[in-house]
Amino acid sequence: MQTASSSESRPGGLPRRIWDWVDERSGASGVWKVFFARQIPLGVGWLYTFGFGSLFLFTLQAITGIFLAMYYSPSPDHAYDSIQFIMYQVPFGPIVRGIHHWGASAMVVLVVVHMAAVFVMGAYKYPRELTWMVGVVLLLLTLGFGFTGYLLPWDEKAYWATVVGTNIPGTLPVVGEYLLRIARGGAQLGALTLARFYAVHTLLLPAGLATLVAVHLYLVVYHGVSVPPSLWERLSAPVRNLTASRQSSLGGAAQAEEYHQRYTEFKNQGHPFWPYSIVEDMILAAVLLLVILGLLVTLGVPLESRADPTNTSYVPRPDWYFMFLFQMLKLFPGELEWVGAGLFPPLAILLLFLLPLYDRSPWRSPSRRPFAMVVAVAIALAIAALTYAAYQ
Amino acid sequence: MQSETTERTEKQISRRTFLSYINVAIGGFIATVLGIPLVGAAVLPALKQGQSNLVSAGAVTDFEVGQPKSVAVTVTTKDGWIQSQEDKGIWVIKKSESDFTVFNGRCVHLGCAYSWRADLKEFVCPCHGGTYTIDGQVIAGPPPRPLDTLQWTIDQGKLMVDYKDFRLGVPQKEAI
Repeated sequence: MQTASSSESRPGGLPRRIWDWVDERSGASGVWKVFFARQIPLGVGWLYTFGFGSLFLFTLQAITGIFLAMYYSPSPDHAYDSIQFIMYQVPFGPIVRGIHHWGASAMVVLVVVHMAAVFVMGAYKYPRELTWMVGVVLLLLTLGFGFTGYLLPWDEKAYWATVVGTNIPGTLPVVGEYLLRIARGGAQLGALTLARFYAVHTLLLPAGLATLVAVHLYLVVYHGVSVPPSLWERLSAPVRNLTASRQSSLGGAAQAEEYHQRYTEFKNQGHPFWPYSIVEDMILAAVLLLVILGLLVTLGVPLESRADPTNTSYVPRPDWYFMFLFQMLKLFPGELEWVGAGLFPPLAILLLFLLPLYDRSPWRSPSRRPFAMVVAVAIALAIAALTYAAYQ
Repeated sequence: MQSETTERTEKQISRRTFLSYINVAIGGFIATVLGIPLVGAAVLPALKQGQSNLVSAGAVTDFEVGQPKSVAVTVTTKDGWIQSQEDKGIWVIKKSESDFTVFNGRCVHLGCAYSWRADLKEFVCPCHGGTYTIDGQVIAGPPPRPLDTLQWTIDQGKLMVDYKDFRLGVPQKEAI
């Protein structure tokens, strides 16, 4: 009774009263406080926008994907016809499909750029090791979306790239044949494969990605955004990460306390996420959307001719972000192909996943981590060179 | 000193408000740029009217003046990306050598197939007892409107009918 009379006397009229009613029963303003009114530490700028950019693109893919699913038929008899229907009969169909197609490439770019920025700034170190690990799984899921997505149009590229892509785990000794059959839903690529890829692409991966994004975001909010290393390390010694500090449990606790003390100081000098920091994120989101629309207008939306399993002249090529893997397989002789296909990539992913645990350098500035920087640049150059070679 | 602080606070508030507006404006821009094609793609095809389906009902000489005749026509229907052929029933009444009335073969009440009772000179629907005159006017029963007439032309001695289905159970004739 008291609450009702006090809310009636407040300014803002009916909308305000409705909001107060909902808030009292849901705690919605608490959610706002945690996610939007949270304090962002001093020095955070454009390099911190790529995570939001990745989230924006995931949302964009989810929304355009829902609308594409209204017209798509996941069976070899109708998949290609339904894509043609989207392209030629549905008003705005090519725009929706184009945003989804180019959005996929943009999402791979953003997720990798986000990871690169976190790596260069050493933001995966204490206390954000788990955030990094969840992020590596999110990168894998993003690539999984790409792989399962390009079979769906059932054109030549879709069919042949998936034939090759699913044959790769098939080269592994012992488990190879089982993996291939599980990936295809049987020995041959056909109706069961398409239905399976569709289910994974539209149900399993979105559920997995959304859950892990929630965990990732929770961790980001829980720890707060990292302070740029240039500011963090300007005046004082580094705070050792958890692995390094485990050598002495007492030292670890003292250093964790020191970390939190210093972080709070930086946070107090910063500003709230809304409306200050988010404006850069919003600008990036708008630019990303315009770039995707620009790509769609200038390069169109590719759709090759209908998949023909009897075609002997087609040279299958994966999407550009898998090209380095495609090229790398050429470096391994026949009997060792499973090393390049089955051993090397999972090992690389494992090394990436465990990075915060074995990188024991307490420093975060790239200038103080020359070895890590050289290794990262070498890997980036190797991927770029393999991609370049694949297009020659 | 105090006024300086107040001024700074006011400035900060105005910057805060300004940035809030910018965020909302960018959000609105993104929602509009995405919303128009997405809603358009989902809604517009569903509102599209059926296309014309000109099918042959037979030679003009196949019909006798004053004798309603039931004809099965094969209509090609496009259901999204699936094209299929379906047999549909129509009734043809030859009024003179060059004048016809063609009815959709479904009762306008709930879509049952009706038939011609030569003894009563009425069209009779077996489902709910709807009856119509030879001109399609309702005599008795629940049909809310006369039988649905179809457009026709004569092309090289053949009666060509523009087959359409209509919304059932309502007083107005609305093509679907």
